[in-house]
Amino acid sequence: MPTVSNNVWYEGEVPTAAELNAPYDAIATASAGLNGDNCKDNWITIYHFGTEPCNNLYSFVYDGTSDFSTSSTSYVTINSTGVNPSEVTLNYVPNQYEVLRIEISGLVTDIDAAVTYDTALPAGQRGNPNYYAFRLLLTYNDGGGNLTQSIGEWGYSFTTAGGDGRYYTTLPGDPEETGVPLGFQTFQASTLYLYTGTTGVRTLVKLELQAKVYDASNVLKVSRNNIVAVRAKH
Amino acid sequence: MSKVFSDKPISALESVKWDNISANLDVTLSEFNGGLDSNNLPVLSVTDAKLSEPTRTKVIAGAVSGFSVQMPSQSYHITRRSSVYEGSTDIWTPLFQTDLDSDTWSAGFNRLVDLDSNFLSAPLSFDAKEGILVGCATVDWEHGNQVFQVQVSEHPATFAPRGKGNEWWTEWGLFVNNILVAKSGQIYPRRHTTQIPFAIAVGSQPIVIELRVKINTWYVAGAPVAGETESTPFKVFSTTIWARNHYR
Repeated sequence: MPTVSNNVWYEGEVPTAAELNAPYDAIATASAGLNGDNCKDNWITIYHFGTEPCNNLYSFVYDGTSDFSTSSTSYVTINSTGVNPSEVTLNYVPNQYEVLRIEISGLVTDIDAAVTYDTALPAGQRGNPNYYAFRLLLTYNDGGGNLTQSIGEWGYSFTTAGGDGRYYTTLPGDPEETGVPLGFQTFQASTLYLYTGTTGVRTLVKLELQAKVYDASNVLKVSRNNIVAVRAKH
Repeated sequence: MSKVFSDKPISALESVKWDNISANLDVTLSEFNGGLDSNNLPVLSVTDAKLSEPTRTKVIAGAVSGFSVQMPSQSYHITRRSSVYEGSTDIWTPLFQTDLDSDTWSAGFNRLVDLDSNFLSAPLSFDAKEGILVGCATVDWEHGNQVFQVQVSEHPATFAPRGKGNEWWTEWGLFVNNILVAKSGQIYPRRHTTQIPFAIAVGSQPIVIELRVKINTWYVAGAPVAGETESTPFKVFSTTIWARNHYR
């Protein structure tokens, strides 16, 4: 603790030059290491913070009307215009226990829900063709090549239908595909990513917003979409 | 450095007394030794390097994952239970499903832990500091409509399968210390990932944030003549609650 003491003299004592100089020398030394012990409580004001923010903002915005279409059953990065993939470039090295907060949203447009039920699937999964999903994929580098990590997946249905009780064989009608198509609805999600490794080791490279469908007969279309990422440092 | 004046000024030709030396320096030292404040320290002097690093104060693992991280100006807290991660399956497989015909549930807001005990740790709990809580709940769920046998003519009596239940709805509420602070509104049949943002002022106090669900459906008595059995399942695939406590 860089605190400095003073000398005390009593009547009749003659201080030496060294004694007189000692507190000033001690202050000069200690002033190079000021810390919280030197300061009053609640001393800081907003004006004392430097220009480096406690949080950094990264974002991707596509607000056009072009559709990204996919029938892929594995995740592909949304790319509504073909030349502007839905990704956020991060390229920073987090300190340990820094938080990255991510929010996504977008608009699903005129989907094509051709198959929403499959009798060939095991019971309990026969309604799965009705589903599609989004994923947030983080690309990072720990010193070798780039690696990826899924940090969130969220699902939706093509139609209003639910459950497995939709299959009929002897009655009229076509209840397998029962359900009203759900085009032009928004999608949205948010989550946190925590870096737990050693400070200075990992570079967070980028975030991608991806989509897939369960059944390749269906077509998912996405127009406007965005990613907002907040790096929380302090 | 110090914004102090001499305690005992010494005038010209005045002899220096012993206590002039000590007292004047004591005033300066007392400020240096813990009395420095915003008048002494330059603006824009607090940089990244001067601020303490984040510290993790809580880890939750198992059926629910989560953490709490404290920073100088804010703290972050999260709990998550997801079929992909904590459930170790995939995005198509629900964490649980409740048969609304036969299982026990409430017509009011249901706590998830009452529908599935694995959600015991899902409510987000932490000690907040005075300031603002900003956060979001994200829940991936399904309450779709169904197919039931419907009589389509009386003479002769003819039955046919029809989609039913388009008027069913589901509503999610976000409760902070058992007070409803945000809700989704009624969402009609579908699988949906619903996001409920919220922001409230808090004191320095314990906080518990919880998702609860209200379900509107009806009993689908009677089995179809042909085909498979009908059901009215309510499914949950994932829940996430995170909050940022921005200190005053």
